[in-house]
Amino acid sequence: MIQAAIGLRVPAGLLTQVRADLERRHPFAAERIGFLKARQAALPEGGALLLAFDYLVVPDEGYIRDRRVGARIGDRGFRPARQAAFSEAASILHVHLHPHLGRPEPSSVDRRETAHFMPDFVNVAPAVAHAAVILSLDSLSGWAWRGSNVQLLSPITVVGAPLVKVL
Amino acid sequence: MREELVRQSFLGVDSDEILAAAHVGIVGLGGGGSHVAQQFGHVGIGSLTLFDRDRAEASNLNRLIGATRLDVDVCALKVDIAARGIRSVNPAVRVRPIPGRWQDHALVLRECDVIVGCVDSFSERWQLEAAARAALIPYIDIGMDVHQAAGRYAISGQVALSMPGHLCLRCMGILTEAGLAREQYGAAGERPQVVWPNGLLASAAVGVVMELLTPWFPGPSSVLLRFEGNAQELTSDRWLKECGQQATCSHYPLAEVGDRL
Repeated sequence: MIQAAIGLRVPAGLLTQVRADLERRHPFAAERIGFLKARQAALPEGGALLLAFDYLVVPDEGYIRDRRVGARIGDRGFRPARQAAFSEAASILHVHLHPHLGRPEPSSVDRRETAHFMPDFVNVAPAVAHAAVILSLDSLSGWAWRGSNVQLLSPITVVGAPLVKVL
Repeated sequence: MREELVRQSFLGVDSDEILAAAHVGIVGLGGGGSHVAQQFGHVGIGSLTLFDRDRAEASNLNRLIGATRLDVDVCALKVDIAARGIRSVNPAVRVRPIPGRWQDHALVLRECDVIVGCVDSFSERWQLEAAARAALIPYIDIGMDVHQAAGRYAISGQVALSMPGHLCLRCMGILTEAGLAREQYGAAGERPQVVWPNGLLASAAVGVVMELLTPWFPGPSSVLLRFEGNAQELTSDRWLKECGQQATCSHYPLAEVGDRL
């Protein structure tokens, strides 16, 4: 069965805000994590668009020490995103940065960790898709969770001047 | 790079791939939209969705690019005339002619990366821009008007880029409450239109789309080009150019995008 496409559109100004936050040094974590809030819009043939409209910064105290991963956040870090999913029926996009050029791919840690926590968002707000997005220095990629399915976000469009479309 | 596009290679080394991946919607395939469609066929846009329910009439032949007398005789759909012209230039373009109201195909419209609106009325501009904003799609609006001034007819018009998060047509003064209420667009006979200002405004709109899509020139986030036909002047709105790029829009908050669940 062919899966219906799920795309992502994010305003360029919002993405700049995300990058600025993720590039800040944390007191002990090696990297930062954030959450984009998005609304879902239906497309033909069951497809969907995730339309990012806001960004939730994870405060320094939302991180917990764990040397096995670049960054780990605890319940305090996840709670505002889960609350937005529950009370606003918002799609939640977990975002972090890989500091290299080119299209980012999830590491084995990314795959393991997202498989662990992304279903929580699906359980909280099952009517919409949720996603994990990885930024690189000049590109981005993402995977959407809709129900029990996981699929590539495609296309991803950075809406601004210039308009950048990643297939 | 495709041989057909080598003369526009200055648009960027990968501009042909960027353009081939782009999906542009054109709403209204009349005097303005027929020019726009023709040019998108030439520049290498990969996917075009065309919305117009009207058929060719004899009174269109003064400006409808690609239309023939035979099209009028057989009452050809304007979207089919445009699609024929595009495919004759570039058979690889994925053209989807939709002979209906875009409002009845709103989900299809959402698939577009950019929308060019070539519609007649203020109310339809308003609806179209709102639909584009709700799906985070840049909207480029073309408008032309013939009105009486000091006992003479004057041609004027505009091209505007309404970028999500930035100034909208209301912010730019193109849509006003008075205009929407009056809904009177032109005074020189019924819906006056002529080919040369349509062509000029359509070319400017295609230029705005090319700046958006290709990396040849860092285009602005908001555009308002004003056309004074009698003076043969197309000028960039000075305030918008100098001060308005950082201005934000209060009419379309980002939080109001998407479907209401």
